[in-house]
Amino acid sequence: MKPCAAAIFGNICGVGGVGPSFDGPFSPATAAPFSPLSLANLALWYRGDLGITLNTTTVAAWADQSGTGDTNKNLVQATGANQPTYNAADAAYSNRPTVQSTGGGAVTMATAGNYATSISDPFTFYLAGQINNGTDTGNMIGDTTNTFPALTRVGSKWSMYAGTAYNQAVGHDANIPSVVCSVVNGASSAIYANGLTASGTTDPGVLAYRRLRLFQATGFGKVAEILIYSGAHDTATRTLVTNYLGARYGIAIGA
Amino acid sequence: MKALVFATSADAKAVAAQIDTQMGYPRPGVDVGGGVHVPPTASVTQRYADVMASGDKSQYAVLCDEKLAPVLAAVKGAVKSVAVPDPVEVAMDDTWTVGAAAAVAVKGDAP
Repeated sequence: MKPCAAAIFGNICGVGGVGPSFDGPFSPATAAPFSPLSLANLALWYRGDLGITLNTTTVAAWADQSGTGDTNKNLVQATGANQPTYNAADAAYSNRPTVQSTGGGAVTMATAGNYATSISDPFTFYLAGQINNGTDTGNMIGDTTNTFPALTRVGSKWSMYAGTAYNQAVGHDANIPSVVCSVVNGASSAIYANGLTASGTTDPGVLAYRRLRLFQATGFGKVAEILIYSGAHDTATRTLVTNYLGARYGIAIGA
Repeated sequence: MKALVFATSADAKAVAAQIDTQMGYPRPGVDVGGGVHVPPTASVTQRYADVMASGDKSQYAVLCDEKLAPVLAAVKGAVKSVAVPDPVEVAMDDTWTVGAAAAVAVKGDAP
């Protein structure tokens, strides 16, 4: 983990001090001020209060905030009826903004083209959000071919899948606000929901993202924030990011 | 979901084009919040809805939701070459796919 000196003093913490900042609130007793940019190897970052472009009340574009400069990481949707809804102050997420699909396979956002550099195993994926598909499989986030969902729902639990196996989380329903972390790392992969460890340790297969689709296939629900880092995060780093997301959106971690 | 259903792709596209005109598409986006935003040219919403084709290509549908309702009468009045039906409930299962989205000009229609 690369520490951010400015964070120690509770100031803006970003790349060169100019990146999107954390705007609290955090209790100093539970978590230090934190910006996702203060960790190395941030490959993708979408947050509901950053980089949103609206078509009245729906989301036409959601810009990547990772600072990699790859415009193909921006999510777009040019058809109004297929755009997700923007909740400017979602009470279920501490009145933070969320992007929501209320159902139907047509509502989706995808990147405009292939990334300059694919995001390959190992990588670590964080989501603050929820999937609301009944009891069926719902692919929240995946690639644009509907083949490799990184984050999905099986039954009521969070899972990830890359063509060969599921790695199913335990202890937390996917249809309520959640902080989910997937460490995509071959046979060492794991998925955590609100900080709780998954039950399975099966290899979900090889994931190599060149594009990303949000609300893929039948997946619908809400997204407040998405982070993808290259590399497999260790426990301490996962805890830091998970606590940041939990505190920001009022989601209890470890519960 | 409710939709306007047509027998031909051309009819559906003609009506879809008039819907876009009445609803003000293409529409530029409005940036909200902080951070980096996409360039304005990349955030234009081009159309209200895609024309959807049934699996056997016997039906073509255009979504008709509450946003379209206020301008539906104007659409019907403006499209002279196609009889615009009343919206009906359609089960858009996986057999429906996006038809050609490009609008077509139909002689006799309002601009």
